[in-house]
Amino acid sequence: MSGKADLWTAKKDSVPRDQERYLLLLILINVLPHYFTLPKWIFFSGLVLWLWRAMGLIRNIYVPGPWVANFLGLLFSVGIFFEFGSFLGEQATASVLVLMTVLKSFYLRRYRDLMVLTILCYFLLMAKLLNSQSITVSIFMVVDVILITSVMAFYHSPVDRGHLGAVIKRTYGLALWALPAVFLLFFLFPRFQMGLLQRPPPTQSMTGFSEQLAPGQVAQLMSNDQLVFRATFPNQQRLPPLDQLYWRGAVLSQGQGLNWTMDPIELSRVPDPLPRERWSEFIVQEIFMEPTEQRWLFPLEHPLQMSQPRNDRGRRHTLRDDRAGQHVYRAHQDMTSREYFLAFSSAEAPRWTDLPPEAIEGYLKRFKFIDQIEAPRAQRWLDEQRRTRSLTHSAEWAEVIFEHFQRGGFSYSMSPAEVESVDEFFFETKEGFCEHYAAVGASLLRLAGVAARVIVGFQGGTPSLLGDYLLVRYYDAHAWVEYWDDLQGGWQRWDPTGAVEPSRLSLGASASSDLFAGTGGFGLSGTSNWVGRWLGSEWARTYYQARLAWDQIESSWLRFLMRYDYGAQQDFFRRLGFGQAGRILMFIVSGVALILLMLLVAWWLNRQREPVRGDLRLYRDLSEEIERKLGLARQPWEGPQDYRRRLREHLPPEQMTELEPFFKRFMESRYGPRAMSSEELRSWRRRLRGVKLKKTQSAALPKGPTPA
Amino acid sequence: MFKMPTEKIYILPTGYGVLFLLSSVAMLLTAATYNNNLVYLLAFLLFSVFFVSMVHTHANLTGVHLARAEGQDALAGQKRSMRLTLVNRSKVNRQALDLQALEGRHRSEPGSLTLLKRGESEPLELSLQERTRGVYPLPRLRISTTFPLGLFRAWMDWQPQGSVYVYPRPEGSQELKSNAPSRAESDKWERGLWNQGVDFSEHRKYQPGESYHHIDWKAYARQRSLLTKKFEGEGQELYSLRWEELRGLEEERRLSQLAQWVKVAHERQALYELVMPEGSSGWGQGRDQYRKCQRSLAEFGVKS
Repeated sequence: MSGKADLWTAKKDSVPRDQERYLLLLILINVLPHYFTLPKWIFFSGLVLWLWRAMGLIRNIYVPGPWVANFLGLLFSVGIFFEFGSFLGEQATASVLVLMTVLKSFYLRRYRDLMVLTILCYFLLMAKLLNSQSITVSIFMVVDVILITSVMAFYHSPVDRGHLGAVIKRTYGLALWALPAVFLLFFLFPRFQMGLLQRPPPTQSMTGFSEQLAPGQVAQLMSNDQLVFRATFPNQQRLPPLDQLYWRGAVLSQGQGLNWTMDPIELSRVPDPLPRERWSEFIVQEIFMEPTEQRWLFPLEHPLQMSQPRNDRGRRHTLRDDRAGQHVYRAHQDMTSREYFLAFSSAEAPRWTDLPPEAIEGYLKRFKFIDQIEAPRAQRWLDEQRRTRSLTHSAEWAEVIFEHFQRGGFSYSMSPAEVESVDEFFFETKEGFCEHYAAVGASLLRLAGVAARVIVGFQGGTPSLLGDYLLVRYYDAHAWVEYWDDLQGGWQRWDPTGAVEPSRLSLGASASSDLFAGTGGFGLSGTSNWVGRWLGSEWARTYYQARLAWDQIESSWLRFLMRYDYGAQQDFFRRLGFGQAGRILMFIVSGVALILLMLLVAWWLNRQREPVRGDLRLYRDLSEEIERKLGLARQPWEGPQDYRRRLREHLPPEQMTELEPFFKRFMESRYGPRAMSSEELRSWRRRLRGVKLKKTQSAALPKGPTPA
Repeated sequence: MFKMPTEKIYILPTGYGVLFLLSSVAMLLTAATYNNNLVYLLAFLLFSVFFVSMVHTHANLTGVHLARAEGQDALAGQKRSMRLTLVNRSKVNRQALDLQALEGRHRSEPGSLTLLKRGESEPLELSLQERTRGVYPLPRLRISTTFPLGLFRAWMDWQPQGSVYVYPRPEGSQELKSNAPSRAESDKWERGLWNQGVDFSEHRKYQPGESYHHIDWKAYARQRSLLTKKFEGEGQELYSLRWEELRGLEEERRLSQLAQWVKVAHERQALYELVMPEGSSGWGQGRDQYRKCQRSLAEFGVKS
């Protein structure tokens, strides 16, 4: 059966040189985007190997064969395993793919290798998509699919060899034909309520939001302008003022002076999101989390509920702490991809009026714990304040400390002097960042006998260009304080940073941080002059404007991509008028539509055949009829005269007398001066339909003319 | 809605097509696992390209027809071949067509056409497997293509009419003896020659005593001198190659010997006839006679 194999595996064996060149370029195009996500040693190993291979092609330097490549592959596999601890997970898979593809190109000998490599390139592309779905990556995807497919087509189009442009153009046409089917499938293909397979655990964590507070912790995020989330306010006319936007992250209740840490939290499930009818009672936020590789979620204060919409059965991701009333929300696993949440908040802090005072007293005990806070000088200062001002309520204490921060020579600095204790900060250095003020403020409150805790999260954000959503980046990270308001009976937000740097709250971090130092006119310490000048220039302003404009486009794309899930699809089907049975019905509809689309393509391609009209059509139909009924096929090389002669031999004369005039007239029309008019054609068609074609008694009719 | 081409075109995914499809399914699973709409988009893009390429591969064969197929005779043990002419009756150029001859389970070396322009035809030669002496019907032809992506192979079969003759190999040790007929019959031969229209080769000045039959009267009418038409083989040896003369030899050796004689006679530009048990080939010379004799040797004993 070796002969059979020839036909099915396209026995064009060797890979031409130009093809090899394009393939290597293609591999480079698909490896480069992984620069941002892969460990550097893996990426650069891949790059160096690629260069080696490319030099082999260009300069004919030595390139090792399959044995060495296999050995290198084994070596790298071990390295990858040590790096990630497994081969699962997006990054490990991407690493394996990158190295495998480059090493595979070392034995690009045959047609088979070529096809396998192009398919590997598709997978490299997919690995990139898992990691980012931005507009740039989406456009790259479309272009890349056309490129990869073109390289595949290049080999199969001998005519266009050497004209990559022509091949790309044709592949582009092919992709255009595929487009309707793509859209159809995208909207109609059933989405699943949960991940179909267990998703592998993430292998590496990015630096980001921290669950504890220590000097320098937040400041370190200041240089990070990566996006954390985008938020829209579906039931607000415009964005709320920035200084009122506190995005609640973690609650730190264990105070040790400058360091604050979190209580262990117990999380429980949250119910389904609130129905739309009830949205008017809340500030509703749609929060589009970036893949932070962490679990923290950041609803606007004061959050009452947060959940992932359209996932009925409340299956995953949003859980909250009920027990301690902290109102913090966490996803139940690290967010490795973009996620979409709904949060419901109220502008007013919740009040605990219905609880008996003893219960509240017991609850607050934890937040008054001061054993780990050592600040003798501050204690003395507080005692003095107590004596001189006769302070009783917690709000008064907060006001006194706030005033002292305002008037006592404190300043806001991105790179403050290092401090060891509360006293050192409070009496000596007097400069710091939000975390210093929050930690020291909360410590002072506790020392004064007020229940206090530190909240970390984000404050403010950057409004989008059109003002319809807000971007929150890592440099918007913030820390503030909550104290127990004994008059109103509830937790009260208190932001001591506002005492020293009010613009931090009203303009946002980007204005007060070094990034925009020139325009704000403060906090320039540690920034060289030219950077400051650049940042203050028109160029910087234009740059930030352009960046926002781009984000406007990007976010609408991402919102579209993320919103279309199981629930959205159900809504879509319902709006189209399909009820609960919609899923199955849609599946069938999409199948049928797909087939129809393919038929449309087939029709289009067949339409391009030369149309046969007039007498020729009539003649062709007649000969097909004769072939069907009598088995006397007209041979492609047979003219009408020859065919007629052959028919005479096989047909009974009475039938032939009916056909004879047509043949005569046809030949006259076809080769003579008198072409048939359309009326004449119609009459001939009628006349020929009346002819009864029957087999004669002579047994076997030969199928074609016998060779002379 | 539309008329499918009259020849049946079959289509199946190639091994790579299956691999491609499996890849897009793997991507679909990944997309479902990560709820990643962009990966869904990629998977659907590949899926759709797969199906669109199927239609394109299929379309690449429509309008392609076999205009002519002709077997080239060969000696036993020699590669036979056949000549084909393909015509593209569609309005679009067709690319990357592969042709193969199927003889039972054997498939010939594929011949390929890189381009068949619209409305044009292209010749092609396929070499067929060597065979023993005999007459063979032309093999079934399969035209196939994987254009444009190699994910599908579409094919179409044709059964051309006609046959290929495989001549016996000219072998044998027996001398070819001139067995010219008697002088009395000579004139009859010449008239026979005349009737059989043996190849005209040149004019010669009429020599008194030559046959009037060969004078070119038309040339004379054109004011020229009296000319005689000279024919190939005239005045050459005459051979009558007879099957009975080789009694005692095994059948195939006998045919080989006759083939050898036919060849020698042809090379000597002699007038000859081949007399087989079924009858005589008639007298003649030149290429037509040679082929006629070779074919009748090839046909010998073959049930048709």
